[in-house]
Amino acid sequence: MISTTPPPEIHPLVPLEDVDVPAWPERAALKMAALRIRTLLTRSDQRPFIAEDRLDDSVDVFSDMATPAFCAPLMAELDETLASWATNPAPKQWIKPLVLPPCDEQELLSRWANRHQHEVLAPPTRDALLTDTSEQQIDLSGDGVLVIPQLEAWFLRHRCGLGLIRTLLTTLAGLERHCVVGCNSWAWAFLCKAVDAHLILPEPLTFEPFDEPRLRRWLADIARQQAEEGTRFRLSRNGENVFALDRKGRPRQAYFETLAARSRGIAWVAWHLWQHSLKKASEEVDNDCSEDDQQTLWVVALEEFSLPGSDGAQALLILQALLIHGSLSARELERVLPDPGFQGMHHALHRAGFIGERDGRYYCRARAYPAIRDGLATAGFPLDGY
Amino acid sequence: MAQQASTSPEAAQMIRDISDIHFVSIALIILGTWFAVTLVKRTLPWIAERGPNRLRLWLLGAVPIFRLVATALAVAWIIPLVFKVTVENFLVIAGAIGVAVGFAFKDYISSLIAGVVAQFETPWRAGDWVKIGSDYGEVRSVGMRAIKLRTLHDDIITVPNLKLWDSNVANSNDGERTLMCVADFYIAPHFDTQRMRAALRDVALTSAWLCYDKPIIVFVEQTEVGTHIELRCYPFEMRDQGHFISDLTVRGKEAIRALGAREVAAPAAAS
Repeated sequence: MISTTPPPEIHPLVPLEDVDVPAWPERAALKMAALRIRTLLTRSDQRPFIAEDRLDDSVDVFSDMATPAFCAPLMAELDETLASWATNPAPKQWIKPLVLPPCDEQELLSRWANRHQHEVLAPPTRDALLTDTSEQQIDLSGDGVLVIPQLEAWFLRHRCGLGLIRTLLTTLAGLERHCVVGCNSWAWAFLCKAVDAHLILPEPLTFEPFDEPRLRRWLADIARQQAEEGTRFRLSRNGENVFALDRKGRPRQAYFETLAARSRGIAWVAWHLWQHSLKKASEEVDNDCSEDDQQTLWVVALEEFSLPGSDGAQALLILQALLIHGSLSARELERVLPDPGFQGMHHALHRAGFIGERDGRYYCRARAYPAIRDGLATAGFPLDGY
Repeated sequence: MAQQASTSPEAAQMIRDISDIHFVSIALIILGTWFAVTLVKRTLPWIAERGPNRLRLWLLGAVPIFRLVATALAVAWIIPLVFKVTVENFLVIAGAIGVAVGFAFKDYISSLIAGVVAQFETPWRAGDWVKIGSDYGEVRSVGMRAIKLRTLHDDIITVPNLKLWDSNVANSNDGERTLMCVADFYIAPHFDTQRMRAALRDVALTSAWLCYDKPIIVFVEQTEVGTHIELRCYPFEMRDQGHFISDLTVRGKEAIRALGAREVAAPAAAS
């Protein structure tokens, strides 16, 4: 079935305001609603905040193919959108703002810039953001395409942390040079409020959300390239091939439709959820495992994780801060949070798998993003536009 | 005596014969209504506390409306079981009950009527933040006779609906999901006002509790003791107003010190 699934099509980026996230399939929506009502009715206020979470239960069987796999098609989409603009000597718009979905652990725009050998404007250190920048100048002159891959690295949500981003935006406003400005969607929502970023960087573009057909073709393509030949992907629930189509060419299973809705059409979130739901049959447990089973990867149902909306205020504030800034060290986290006393919570979130840590910096993990966003939405936090 | 004799049979005609009154049905109606009202009164606020924030005010507001409708239906159901309903009978009964009860429970009845009026005028709804007299708090429940407020100090205050007739009621959010919070600062007048306004605006913009959809206003006025600055903005969740104002105040003071300005005592303290 993988071999007959056509390769994914390349979609150019779309305006952020036109983003329409994939809808839930009816059955999955009802099931999820029932689960949420059950959780709501059985939830105890005495329950520990992290205890019920099971994000780390699974074993990654595709970990070796994780990094580059989902970058290539997205790079192609960036090329499709930006190639002709980058070579136009007098474009209508010198600056191309790109609002990327959150939890981009692979720093996609930096990779794209490096691949094309575009100049990348390195962000300052976060400590430098808190110094007085009123006299500071930012030099953006030069030839070729300039890429500012992460606008979220240019500010700190602190009373002294907005000076440099204002200077940068003022400089960008008068720039006559090809410039690609990337920003994650949570930071974008904050910057539109805090420094009116949308007035200087109008009409931002973003990736078109991955709906069911696109997601199915894309994941089939990756599996075709990287899984062992003859590998089958079967749903653990009923043994059906997850890529199987009916006579009319429609998918027999709602798995990818559910995956598209759960991931909000964000490619890397979908990839991590997909990777997390793949299991191998255990040889130790099942000794009569046939050779056929050895080439089968079992796709377990996507689990519904949730963050409490009412009794996890500290955790939610940390997660919101991490989404807005992309990543933060523990010290920076303390600076942007409103109350002291957060010392232990980020460790608990890290242990539970909601946030990851790399080089001393914490970030929200892609596979936990749907749960994090639901938790923030339930508690009434301002959300992003993706 | 002749007059009395003539009215007694009429009064007797208004009420059904004892043997015709279905006491069991009446008891079941009362019991069923009480059970339904109690169930809704307990269940909806419980769900509201745990469910999505956007549904909270709607769920809390549904409780008094349900109780009013259920009570009205129960009364409308019971009356024909006890009385022979005609226009004449209705007027006589209403008059008699009105005079008797009005004198005996004037304030109580007034509170009940105020409770019904409040359902339509909506000076408060469950979940709103109101100030009645000197009491400020969140309306936790709306009863037929009184409402309960939970203050920022976690006190529960019972305010009779009667207050609706003769007190000013300040409703901070009026059914919306957020309300304006104000952090006050009094500063000795020799400072750069423009930079101070910008700095305090950044204090509000960088608060984790800020609602993005509402404006931020830095209001400045000159007073006898110094320059009074009000930082007015909205939290995304009104129950966090205490945290929000504390955050604005703490970081606002830092900003004032960083600009080399000096706070002075508030007018009340100065006088």
